[in-house]
Amino acid sequence: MKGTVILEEPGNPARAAAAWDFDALLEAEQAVLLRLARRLVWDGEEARDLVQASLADAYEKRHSLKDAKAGPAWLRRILVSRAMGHLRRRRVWNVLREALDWGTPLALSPEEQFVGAEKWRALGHAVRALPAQQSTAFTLRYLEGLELDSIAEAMGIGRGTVRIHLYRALKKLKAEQALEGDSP
Amino acid sequence: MRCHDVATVLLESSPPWAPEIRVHLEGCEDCRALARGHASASGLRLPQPPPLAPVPREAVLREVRRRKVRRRIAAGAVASCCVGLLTWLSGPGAPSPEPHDFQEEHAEVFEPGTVPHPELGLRRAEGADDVDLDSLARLVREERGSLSWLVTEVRGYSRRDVVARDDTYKPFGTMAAWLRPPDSRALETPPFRTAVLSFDSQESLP
Ligand SMILES: [Zn+2]
Repeated sequence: MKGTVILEEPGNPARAAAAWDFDALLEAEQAVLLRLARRLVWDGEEARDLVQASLADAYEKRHSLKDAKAGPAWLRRILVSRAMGHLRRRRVWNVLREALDWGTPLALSPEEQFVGAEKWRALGHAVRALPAQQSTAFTLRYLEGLELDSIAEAMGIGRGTVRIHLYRALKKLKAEQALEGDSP
Repeated sequence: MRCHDVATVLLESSPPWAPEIRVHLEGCEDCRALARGHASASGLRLPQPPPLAPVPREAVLREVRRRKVRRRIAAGAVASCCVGLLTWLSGPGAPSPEPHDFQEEHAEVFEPGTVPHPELGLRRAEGADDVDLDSLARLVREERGSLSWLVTEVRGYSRRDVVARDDTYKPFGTMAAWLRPPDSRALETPPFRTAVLSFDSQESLP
């Protein structure tokens, strides 16, 4: 099969038995990962870079995945972990930028310029301003519709901690009035 | 019901709320705001922007290769720093700890008498113009690659007072003792010895 990376360990039957197809996983999951990354960081270009870095992580750690069925959740965990690091750095950078008063306002991302997306602009700005863990928990819960257990698994934290992050995120977004007007 | 319990229920489920929750919400502004926020967030339906172009497999593998190179460079830089540190600790003009073993072992390459860099324990090979550079390079690589040789060398360095007793510094009298670098006996401290000796014992395993 062309371009297929099968995990094979000559002389190591235990590892050979756990072989799986990296390319198949890449092909099946990439669209989901790109969409999730875009929602996590609210920027298409950053999302693509994140997915590339996460897939490289996955390729390097591919021996640690023993069960191919766990592949999608495993990839999501890698991406979420990368995204949180990225969000943390971006937040620090934004604080620095404001503190140094560099004046040039941040350009709107394609997400924020998207036709019909005006009403999401305030939400996007408010979510981007949240601490990394709060914005990640919020996105996974309310934009991706994941259950609390899946969020806990993806973020590598406890279910109770997820609730705390969600609670704080909702409070802040309400205070920013970013969630007004969407009440059912 | 306490606010904490209500918040837990609110975040774990969706409306319509159970009667006891509704009773609490009627009397608690904070929890009411949380319930409204949760309901608003649950109803968010983000518009779908055009899909992003997929990341080609080659780009992923290129990134993996780039990381490998970066790691190798970082490891090389660390190794260079260690060698630089050892060189600095050993001081200028210090003789190699066991130059005789090395020279005797490779007497066919090193000829006595002509010493370009005595401080390195090297001697000029027979016929300076027709030096067998390949075999010399191979020997140097072999010796450099030997961790046990490095350990022996480190032990040698760690047992000398590096600068103050060098002949170069004699004219300065006791001033040399004031100006010398930190005492190289620091290399004999337990953490360093444990680290190096564990490498040494690993290497000597069959
Ligand atoms: Zn309450």
